[in-house]
Amino acid sequence: MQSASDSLSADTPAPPTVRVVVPTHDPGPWFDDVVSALAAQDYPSLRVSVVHDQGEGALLERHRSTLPGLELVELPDDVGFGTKVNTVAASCDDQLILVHHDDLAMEEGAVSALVREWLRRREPRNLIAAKLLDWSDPRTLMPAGFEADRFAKTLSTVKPGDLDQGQQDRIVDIFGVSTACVLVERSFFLSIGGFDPAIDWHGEAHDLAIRARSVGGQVVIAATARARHRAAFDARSGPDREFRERRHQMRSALAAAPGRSIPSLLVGFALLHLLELIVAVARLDLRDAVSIPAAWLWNLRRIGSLRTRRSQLVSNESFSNDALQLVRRRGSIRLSESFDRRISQREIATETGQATVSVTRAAGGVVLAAILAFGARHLLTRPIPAIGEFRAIPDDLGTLTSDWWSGWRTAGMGSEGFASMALPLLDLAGLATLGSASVLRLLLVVVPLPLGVLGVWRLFSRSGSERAPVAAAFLYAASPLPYNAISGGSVNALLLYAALPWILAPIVSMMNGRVLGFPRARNASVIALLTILVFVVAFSPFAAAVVVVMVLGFVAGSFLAGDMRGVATLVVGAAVALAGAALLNLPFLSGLRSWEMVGGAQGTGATETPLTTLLTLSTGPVGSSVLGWAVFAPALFPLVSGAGERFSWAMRIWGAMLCAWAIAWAGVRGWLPMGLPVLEVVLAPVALGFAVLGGLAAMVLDVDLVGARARRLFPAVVASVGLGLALFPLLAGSFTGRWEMARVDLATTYGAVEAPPEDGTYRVLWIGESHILGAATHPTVNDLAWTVSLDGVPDVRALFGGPDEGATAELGEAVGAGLDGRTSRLGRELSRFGVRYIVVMDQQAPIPEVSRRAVVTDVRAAGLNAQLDLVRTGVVNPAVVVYRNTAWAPVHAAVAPADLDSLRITDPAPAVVTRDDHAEWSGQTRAERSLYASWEPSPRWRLQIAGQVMPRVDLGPVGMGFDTSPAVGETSAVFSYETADSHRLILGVQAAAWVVLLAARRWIVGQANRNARRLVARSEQVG
Amino acid sequence: MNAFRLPGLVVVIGLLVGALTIDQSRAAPDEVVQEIRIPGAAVAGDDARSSTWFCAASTATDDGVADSVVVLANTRLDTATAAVSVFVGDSSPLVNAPVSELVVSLEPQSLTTLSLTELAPGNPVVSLAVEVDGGGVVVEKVSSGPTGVDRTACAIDGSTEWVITSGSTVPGSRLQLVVFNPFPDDAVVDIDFVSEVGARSPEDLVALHVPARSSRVIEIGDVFAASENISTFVRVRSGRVVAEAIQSYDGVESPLGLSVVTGAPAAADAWTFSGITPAVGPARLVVVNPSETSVRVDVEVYPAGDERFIEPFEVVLQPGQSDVVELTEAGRLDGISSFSVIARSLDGPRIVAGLEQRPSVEEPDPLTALAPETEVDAPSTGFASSVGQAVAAESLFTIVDVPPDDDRSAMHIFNPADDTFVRLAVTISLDGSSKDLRFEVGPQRTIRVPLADLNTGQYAIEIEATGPVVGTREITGLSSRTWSPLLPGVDSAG
Repeated sequence: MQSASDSLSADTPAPPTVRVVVPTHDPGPWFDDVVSALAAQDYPSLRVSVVHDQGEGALLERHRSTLPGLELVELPDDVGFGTKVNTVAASCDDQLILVHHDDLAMEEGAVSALVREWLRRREPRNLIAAKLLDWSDPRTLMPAGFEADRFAKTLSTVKPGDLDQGQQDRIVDIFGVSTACVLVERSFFLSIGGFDPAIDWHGEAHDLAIRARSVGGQVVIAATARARHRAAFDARSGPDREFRERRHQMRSALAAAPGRSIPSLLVGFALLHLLELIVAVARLDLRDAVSIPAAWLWNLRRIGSLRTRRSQLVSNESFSNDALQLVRRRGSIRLSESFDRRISQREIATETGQATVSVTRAAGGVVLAAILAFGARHLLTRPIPAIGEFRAIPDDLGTLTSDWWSGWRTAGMGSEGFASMALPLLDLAGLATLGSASVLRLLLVVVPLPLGVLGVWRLFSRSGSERAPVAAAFLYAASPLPYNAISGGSVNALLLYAALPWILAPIVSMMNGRVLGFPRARNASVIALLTILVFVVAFSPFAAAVVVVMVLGFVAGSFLAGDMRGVATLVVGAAVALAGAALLNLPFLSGLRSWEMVGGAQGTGATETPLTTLLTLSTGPVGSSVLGWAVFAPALFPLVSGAGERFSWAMRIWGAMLCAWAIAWAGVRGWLPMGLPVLEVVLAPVALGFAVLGGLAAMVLDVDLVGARARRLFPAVVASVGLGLALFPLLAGSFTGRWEMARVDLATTYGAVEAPPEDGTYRVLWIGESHILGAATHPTVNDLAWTVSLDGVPDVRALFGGPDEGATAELGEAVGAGLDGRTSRLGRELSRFGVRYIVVMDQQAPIPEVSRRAVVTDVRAAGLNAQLDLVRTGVVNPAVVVYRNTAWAPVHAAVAPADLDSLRITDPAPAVVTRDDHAEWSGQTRAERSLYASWEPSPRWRLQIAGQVMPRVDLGPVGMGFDTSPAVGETSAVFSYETADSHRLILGVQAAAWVVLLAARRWIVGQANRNARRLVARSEQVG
Repeated sequence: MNAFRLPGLVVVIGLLVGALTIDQSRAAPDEVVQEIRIPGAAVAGDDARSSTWFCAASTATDDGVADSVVVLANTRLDTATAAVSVFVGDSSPLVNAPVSELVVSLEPQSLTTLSLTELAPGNPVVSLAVEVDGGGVVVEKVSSGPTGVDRTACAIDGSTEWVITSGSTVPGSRLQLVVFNPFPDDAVVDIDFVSEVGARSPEDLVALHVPARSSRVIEIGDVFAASENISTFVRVRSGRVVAEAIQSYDGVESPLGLSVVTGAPAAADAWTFSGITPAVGPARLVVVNPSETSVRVDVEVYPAGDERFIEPFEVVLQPGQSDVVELTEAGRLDGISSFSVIARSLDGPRIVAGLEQRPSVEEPDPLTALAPETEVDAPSTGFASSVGQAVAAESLFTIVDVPPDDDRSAMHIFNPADDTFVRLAVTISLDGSSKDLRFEVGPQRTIRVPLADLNTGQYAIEIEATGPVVGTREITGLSSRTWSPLLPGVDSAG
């Protein structure tokens, strides 16, 4: 090979002077090598200028010894790469400038090789670049040349890791080159405006290339000019590379485009960016999403300088766009790159079970999210009414945890027992909302819907089918079930809707369900299922029964499909998970001593529900009895046309759906010996089943029917039409903006049951159908149910009831006697239970709002009208009737001692009226009067007056009496329940067990994921 | 082809289609429950914590037309305690009217009487609430005045709607409506009428205020033109009330008589009247349609002693209208000595039906009086009016007051079943002792239980039946006649 010194001998005309411009930015220790490499160059007319930030000069001074004649130029810190080069180019008088990165080390003779190439071509408009090699491994190529599209997106001609085998040496003309090491004639450089000062980092290479190209220049890599490049500038240039790249691409494309192309270019950018925005949102890549509007804003703000820069180029007499079009890549590199990447990812994902994002999925996800957001817009922007189980949450953080920590349950007439872990969990969730109870309520109502849809999406995200997650998620979102649950105020139904897809995922995984993705290790699946169940059961114990029904359905479906693989694992795994969930909620579950506390009381509200309603899930205001059948087409399609695991899983899902339907149908027909929760809870597996079958239908289309004959495609057409029709209710329902939820609640009516604290603690008795009351209830006569609340309207704690025993059972007996006319003095009977108000609910929301309603509750509770000591308050809304008990006594009442003996309270006065804690009241009592407390008797209740514990008076099963005579005139009292240490020990163990479970899950599932990633890596290597 | 595909599809689709078929074939669900309590008085069972009776209409003035004595019959084997509250009323509203209370001990299987003229003398209207500690006690009111005597069971419940099927304001008659509000909150009621001259809603009776724990009396003749047959509707806007009517005839322009009628607190599908004796006088059935849609009514007649089929009377009633079926004027009942009647609605809307029987001005047919099981002489005087019984029951209660030398008073028990014999066990209690009788009633037959064997006095009677039956008490005095249903026990209400 001919050396540079040979070529540029003294006999030849004087070589052009070369100014090496090295803009630095926080240079590291490698810079010594950079300088040494420059010093080793043999080019005779070489001058080096290092343009550095302020304060770096002192550090760079030492390099003068290595490189005599080194010129140090200091510029402000906020000056970018382009400005630094421009400054030197404008001030020097050299013929050529060599733009040189501060992390590049040229091999000996590289400058000479560059100049030689420039001279050989004798074209001042050319850009001559060095071949870039890896800094630490010179055998490997680094990106130097690139292609570009009209949107200034570049694509390197070198793939990462490509070895240097001379493949770059044959490239003569490429669109552009990296500015790492590029030689350009100074006058030409200045004539095209140099680097764009607005482009500080990232994008300057394209900008220089396109400007040179626009005026007829060429871009050449001189294969004999080699340089090692670190290409680690990202680490020093901050985290906003995406933002810079996108805005700079837009600027350089616009700055080099002829005027007539600007409109079409802008439209192109708009379309491209819109598409990219959708994809970014679908991928939850917020940085990418935000960078798009940011690029537009950035360029709009700099439109003046952009116009100036355009005019510099367009005024050049050589300016022509035609040459550019020849060398520019057609279409969008970004889209092509994305498509190629998706194909590659999907291939890998299909092999390894990884999730992928495609345009179909992204667009589907964005549209679905938009519909859901549109449909819930009023829920998001207006207060959530207190309908059904959407109870208020205490404003004070810690209240629920305090209740949980106490050994006294206030439900009914009170009882000793354990509260659900749901209470402290709600408090924890309250932390996330910064203590805002209303925001937490909003989230509890709104979040389950997208959470469930997301769960279904995720279920199919590893399926390898682009359409499966979209179809499944749309069908799940289009199910009437969650909207009827919202309309009917059913927290339990919403909870199940949200949780079931996440419960199904480990079940599928447990059964080695490759059809929906790469199976996890069984222990990871079991613990994942256990973790979800622990949380769900804490809120809704009936969820365990739903899971049992699903598992039974899967077993039956497996049998019908003739595919019993994984069934034993499923049964054992589910049993272990259910047992574990029960164990971790054992304190709470041990208090559920009747079915009503688990499944709810038998109501008549649903007894006339026809099977068609159950099958189409149109159990409320949302859903169509006609269009509801459309979903059966995609649901049956996998049974008709599916193969392999798709058929097996379709049959399993159908098994679960049939089981759920059977339970619900038997319930409404009265064939079950016990009551059921609202239908939406029982039918939640059906909603999920339709969605999963929809996803399987899409997979069947993508896999089983590829290349099928037209005859086999007919069911697919029917299924597709059915799927489309099934989505109509979703669209129609979204227009109300609140999914048919009532706009207002009965707050005005409830005002009638609020009383000032000085009147004393009191109870409100709520009567209606269990499904209407929205609380844990006790059954009573005429298929009605009742519950009581303390001091007004019940809050979220009312969802967790107490046992129907002792004093609570006595209260229930009195309520039944009043309802069926066995007494005409119900008020007097209720006085010893502290009941001040009775509310009979016929409907959850005020008429004419649409809400769940019962069948003439007022008639079935007509016995109350016959009571001689109940006053019916003015009718605020016909949905409820409120009675005031004229014979009421406070829950804590100062009574004549004789009243305790006769168990008939005749002249009560409020006592200890201030509630200090969950089970502690303080205040005044009356001298020479005993205290009557209408609670379930417990020896742990104490009345202290002036620090002295008052003796108890035995009153039998209802209420507690305290003789206050030892207090001798003292009236300042504290009435409190002392929680046993053993109770708190058990709670502590329970909480610790939960923490251990979460840690174990993290460890086991993490390990499983790591194993999966290893498999992915191995698959990629093999690929 | 997957071998399991076809069986799987068959199972899935078969289960769905099968279930749908079963669901479609099930009996149509019952209509939405409109009323589940017995429309009318009933006797609480042993499981009742308490039972309450409301006796609305009584006078306690010197010229009172219906001064009353309340009879409390304890059919239990233990002593019962009754808390009696005495309310007063007037034609104008009485706010914070005084209420007197007393506690009465009711001995087992005995009767106790309370005179309202003694409890609240000088009041235009006296009403009573009797709260008994348990069931098994019957409370009725014996009203007497210059025009006669009547016995009527007190109401057991307040209601938001009352229908009094018949009344008259023609010259010689006087119709008073008493609205009693025993509850602690005020009531506001609207009172409407319908008669042969049309419907009327007198302005004075719109939004009528009935203060808590008081009564109001309305003189119907003052607000409604003279009419032969007036049906009265009491509709409550707020609160609950008890409504009774006092109908008296002065004997000048019409036969002498007094009738105190407790309204029907609710409509029903069918009303049954047992033991109607044509020989006593012309009987007419008044059928009222208080609903908002028209209704077709069949009036079925069941002769007491033979199997003759009687073509039903057919009536079509427009909303809010009433109609009169002259039972004994129709030739189709010729030759029948006694019969029972069921007025049955053929459509969804429900009806209220009452029977009115006036004394005959003619001598009864001696042949009819000699007919088997109906050996009864026509009374010389007396006017009977009552609503029917809406339910059949397996236990019936009543109080009978046997006058001296009475051989005409009786109970009529009707078995509405079309294929079942019913055995009856009748227990008659007086002053702690009791007497048992046994009878059997054939399907759709009526049996007459004569009271002639009993000595003069008041008896509490309890009837236990092996199937649902409906009964009537007919007591004929010297100047009056009472014809009223036996009270069902709520434990066995059909």
